[in-house]
Amino acid sequence: MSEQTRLILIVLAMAAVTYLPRSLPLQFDVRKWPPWVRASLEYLPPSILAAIVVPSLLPLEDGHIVVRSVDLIAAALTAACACATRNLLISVVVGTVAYLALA
Amino acid sequence: MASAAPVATGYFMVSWVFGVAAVKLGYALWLPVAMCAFVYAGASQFSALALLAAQASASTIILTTLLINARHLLMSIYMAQALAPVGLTTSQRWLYGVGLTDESFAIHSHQLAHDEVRCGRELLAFNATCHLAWIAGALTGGWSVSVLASASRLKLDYALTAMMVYVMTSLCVSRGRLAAAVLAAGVALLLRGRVDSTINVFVASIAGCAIGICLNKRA
Repeated sequence: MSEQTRLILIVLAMAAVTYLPRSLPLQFDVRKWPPWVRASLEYLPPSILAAIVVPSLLPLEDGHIVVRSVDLIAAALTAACACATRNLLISVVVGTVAYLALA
Repeated sequence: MASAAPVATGYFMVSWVFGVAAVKLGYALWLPVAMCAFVYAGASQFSALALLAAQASASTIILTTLLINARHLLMSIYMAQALAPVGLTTSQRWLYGVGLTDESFAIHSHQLAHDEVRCGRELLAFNATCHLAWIAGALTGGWSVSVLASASRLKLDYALTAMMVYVMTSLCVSRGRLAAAVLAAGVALLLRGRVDSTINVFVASIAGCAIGICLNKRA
């Protein structure tokens, strides 16, 4: 097998294992699920986002959490702006400009 | 399409870096572009690139990709319910899955919860815009390596972080949801320090849901 064929097969396999978890559950009929499972789905979006965002703001280097104040200040400003304005574009612009200005 | 703008901009910047990295490692331009077109997953693509460069086996690369993307299973389960009001057909749902990413999940779950989506096509158009920006970034990034000796980059990819922070903040509207987010963040931080696992987000999210449903039952 040539190196190029190997790479093509790897990309295709990566595509398959990425696509199936994203798409298969969309075909489920959630109405048939027990009520407590459906009720707990309400808590999925904040949980998933917190589990992704918070660790990314506190990166790990050599087993220690690194506090990069620029990232945290910009994130705090974005969050404050989100609470105050409830506007995505304004909050993102404020956060990104703050980051660029402080960095 | 205003909501796609920060995501598409951030995607372009990040995949631009991906294209540069792949070409600098000695791969032909088609590889980063094909990964962006067919895989469309940031963390897995960067890991795959690092593993390829380290001569890892194909099975390692594919298993890593699967584990990193396990969290999308939960997002997809949530979306199966949340998409019901916009009435997507079966084939439109299969198409929607192509573009289900952390960021599209963040924006769409928020919009659907606030009845801000008029029709399903709007969501598909959002996904297509972001996916095209992702492909275009890798294409121009990889191409620029051969054209420009050193390409500078403005750190506009912070826009993606800011967007995720915005949605996370807006989603914590009730005590239960706030408790779920705080616990999930705590579990994710703890797990990361102790076990080197790519399914941290998956485990942490389940923990968040558990505390949410416990508080819900008591109330």
